[in-house]
Amino acid sequence: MFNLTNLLTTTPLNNIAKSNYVKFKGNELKAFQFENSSSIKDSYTTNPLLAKMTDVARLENAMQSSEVQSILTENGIPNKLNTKAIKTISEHSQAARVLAAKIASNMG
Amino acid sequence: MKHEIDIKSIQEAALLHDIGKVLIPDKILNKKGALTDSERKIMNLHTELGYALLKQMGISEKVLNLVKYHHQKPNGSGYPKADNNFEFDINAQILQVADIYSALTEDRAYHRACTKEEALSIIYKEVENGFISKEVYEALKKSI
Repeated sequence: MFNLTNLLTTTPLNNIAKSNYVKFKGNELKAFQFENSSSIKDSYTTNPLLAKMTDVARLENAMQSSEVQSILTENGIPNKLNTKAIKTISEHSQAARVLAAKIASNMG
Repeated sequence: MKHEIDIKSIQEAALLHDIGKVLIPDKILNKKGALTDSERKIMNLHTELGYALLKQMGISEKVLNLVKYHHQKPNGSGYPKADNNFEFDINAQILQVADIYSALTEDRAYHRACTKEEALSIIYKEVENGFISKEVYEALKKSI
């Protein structure tokens, strides 16, 4: 049995299940639809906001802030950007965005 | 709990909720197996790191707080530690459930992707434990 806390805090974000990938079409929430697996990679497009916020130069600049540096130093975390993680974080986040919007639209 | 749903903020926060993980070392982020307590402590900092990073990037305070508290629970038992003024937000709950379902149904280094039914079963246990609202759970069921 899964431990939900472990799963959500310890697992890497790679290997997104194709069957769960989603794509936005049109402007209405009801227009969200699940893609079939064969078109997943072709349909993947990074959201402009996400692309902007995960820009390496922008992140490297933001991580120099005193607040970020303080957290890193206090916890012995290397002052280094994990650039390998950006793509997988982006994929997971985009799937979460589409689902979150659907959940919100289905709230009474 | 704050009940006003803000889809725009939810979507923005969902896009950015895990950005703090770019500062989590790969040996922890992609570790195959359970984390030690100290590794978990570092992994859990991704919410605060995300908040601190995005604060430099002109993101609204509302979205920043959703990012910061997307692992928080209605009773304040999640992380990061909630202060005295903390009020759990339905928007954070929606983001949290979307995050959980997405994570459960994605292949990970040490487990296969759950089926829809398995994921719903796991999430329902959180409903029974009082950590996820039944209303959000029902909306999730309609959404998948």
